[in-house]
Amino acid sequence: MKLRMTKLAILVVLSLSAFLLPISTSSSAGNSPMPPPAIQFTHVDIVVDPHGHTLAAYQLSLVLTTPNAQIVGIEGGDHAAFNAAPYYDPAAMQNHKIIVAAYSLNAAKDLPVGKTRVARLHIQLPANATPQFTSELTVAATTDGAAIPNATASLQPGENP
Amino acid sequence: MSTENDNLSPTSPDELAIPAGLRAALRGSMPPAPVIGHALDAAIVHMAREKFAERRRGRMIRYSLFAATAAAAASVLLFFSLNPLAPTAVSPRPAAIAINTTHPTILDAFALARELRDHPQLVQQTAAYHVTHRSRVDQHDIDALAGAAVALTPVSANSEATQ
Repeated sequence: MKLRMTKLAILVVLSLSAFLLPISTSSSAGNSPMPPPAIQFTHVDIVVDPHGHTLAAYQLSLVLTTPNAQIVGIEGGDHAAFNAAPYYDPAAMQNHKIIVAAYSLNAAKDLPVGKTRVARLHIQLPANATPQFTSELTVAATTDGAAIPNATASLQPGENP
Repeated sequence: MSTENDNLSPTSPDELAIPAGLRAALRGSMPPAPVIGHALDAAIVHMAREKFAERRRGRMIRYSLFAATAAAAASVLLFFSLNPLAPTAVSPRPAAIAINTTHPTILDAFALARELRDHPQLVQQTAAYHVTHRSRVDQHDIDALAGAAVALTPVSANSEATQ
């Protein structure tokens, strides 16, 4: 009878050891440095330069060419006239392509005439990858809707947060 | 003893074969019948006729009021059926600016926004500006144009974008 009880106790101890061993192993593994994250987040500023004309409206299409990168957010620009988030297709989120556009009914004196950040895109991309784009300024216009022929757009990658 | 009451009785007690004692006892137990003259009778009849005439007049007034109300309601219905309250007819006023609703850009939305700001009344009367075909031209129509401009897949200007 005593022998049987001893065997049972050994069995219980072995069973508990089998459960507790992996936990202690993983705990010790937690002290080792974390592997680098597989993804990173950054942003890209959309800057339009109307070259001295009053910028009242713009439309721009942008394609993210970095593999496995996607657009995850969008916000407005610096200038009060374009401070609100621009128009965009919600389908552009979690996508690599987007068309953004905005207009302002402000008076000419309250519109930008120089280089202005009109929007900011937030991007998710693989770790150590750099965001790459192609973009096209479809149109930029002044207060009366006339196109600004020499307007240009550029993209300025932001720093990682 | 004979009274007027006796004369008014359809049948005189004398004509009935009633014993004289009973007849006297009956006469003694009943008060004498009131005497109603012709003038009073005529007045009662006149009052009764007046009462009936008054009721008839009240009924006629009620009927007249009902008929007048019904006629007024019918007139109002007829008026509005001939002059409907429908939104002001959108006249074929030519659009001051051309708006491309098939393949719009932000400039189309911008143009409509300026028109709505500068000519809010005329915009309502211009069929071309009713992009979403609602009763009024407003921000919804501008948003529909802008939404179609930024859509990744071609859509009509009837769907709206996010801003």
